[in-house]
Amino acid sequence: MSERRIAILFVVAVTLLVASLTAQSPERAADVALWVEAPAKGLVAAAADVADRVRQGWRTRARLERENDELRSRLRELEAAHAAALGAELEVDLLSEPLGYARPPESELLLADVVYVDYHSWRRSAIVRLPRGNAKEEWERRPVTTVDGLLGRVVSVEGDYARVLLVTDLDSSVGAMIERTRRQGIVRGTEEAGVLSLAYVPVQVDVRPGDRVVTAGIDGVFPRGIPIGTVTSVESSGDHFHEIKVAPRVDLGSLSHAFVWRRDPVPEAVMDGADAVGR
Amino acid sequence: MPWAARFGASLALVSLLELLLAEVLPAAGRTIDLFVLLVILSSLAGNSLQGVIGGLAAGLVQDTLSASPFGLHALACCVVGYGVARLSQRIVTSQRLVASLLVAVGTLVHQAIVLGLLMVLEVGEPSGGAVPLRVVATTAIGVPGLWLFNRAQAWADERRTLKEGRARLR
Repeated sequence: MSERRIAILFVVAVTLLVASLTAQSPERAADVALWVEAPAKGLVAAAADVADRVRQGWRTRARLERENDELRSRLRELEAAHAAALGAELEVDLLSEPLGYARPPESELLLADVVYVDYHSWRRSAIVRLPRGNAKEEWERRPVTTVDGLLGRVVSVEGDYARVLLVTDLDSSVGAMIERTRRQGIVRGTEEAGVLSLAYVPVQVDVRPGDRVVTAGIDGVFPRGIPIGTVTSVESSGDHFHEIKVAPRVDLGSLSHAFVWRRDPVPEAVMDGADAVGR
Repeated sequence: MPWAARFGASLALVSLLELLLAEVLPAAGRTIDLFVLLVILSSLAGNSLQGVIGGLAAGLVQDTLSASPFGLHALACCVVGYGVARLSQRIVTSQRLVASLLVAVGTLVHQAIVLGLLMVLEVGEPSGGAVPLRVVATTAIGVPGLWLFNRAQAWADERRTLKEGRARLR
């Protein structure tokens, strides 16, 4: 008889003997079966869990690879755009030099702690604590932003503290433009807290909900390109201008720090007669 | 003499010895396991089939003679018989130390299986403390038994060769 057949015979004999033994103690055999079955079930469940994780891992990996490809593609586009922008900047520098064009001065940002905010009452303002050692500077009318976008401008200073008129205040007006079309208008606060209006945009101009609104740099206070908000609705019921509502980019309910721009505004004497904007 | 007849005779002799020991020296009867010794010695000299059948037969006889659940010793002896037979095909068992080790390990495995099954089935009263004593005692009996077994085999071979030589001379 071959060794394989002997091995089969051995297994059969052992199985029969085990069956005989368990038949002599059925209750205990059931306990033992349960004792063996429970870990076996756990093992099967763990194996299924592992298989599920592996499957999910593969899916996630496929998704990540796809996203990675998209991001790499986007990065290449942005690198190309950046290179083009650098080239354009260089070109502007070269062209502006013989023309005597004065480029806007570089600005420095100073981090300030927000110690008071009121964005619901009739006077919507915040108070920030200025960095120490800067009390002697001329802070009034300087722009104040957060990492998200425009917050307002400094209206008064007392010691180390400065009051900031929020962009949502009814008295606030900021020279703004729609980023997509570069069409300019004036952003003002409204009666409704947390809603801005973009005024003086003619009905002929293409404005769509979702358009980004940024500072236009035409009010003598705010530099160009600071995000203000996003267009939420456009109504053309007026005769000449759109009624545009803008949601502010900055969440006024979660203010903790702000940046005060160390950037001299256009002198008041020059701005005389132009107080509709930037005041 | 065929293997089955020789094994049957040895089994009968071992059964008789076990019964005698149980009557005359009950403590020795409980300590020395002659059946497993027979299975190991038989498997060392035979093939895998002889190991399985010998183990099964010896175990069933032991189960019949003892009060343990029927099939308990048969299972243990079957495993030991098959295991020792397979091992003896792979290693040189002519050295006394190797053979002694096989006897000791075989006895230990047999005792472990019996003890484990008794614990799992919760029948009888397994005494784990007696296992080392049983292994030592059975091995101590098994080593001279193995020597005697080998001597008997050599004597039988010698006689057979002598008988064949004489038959040729005639």
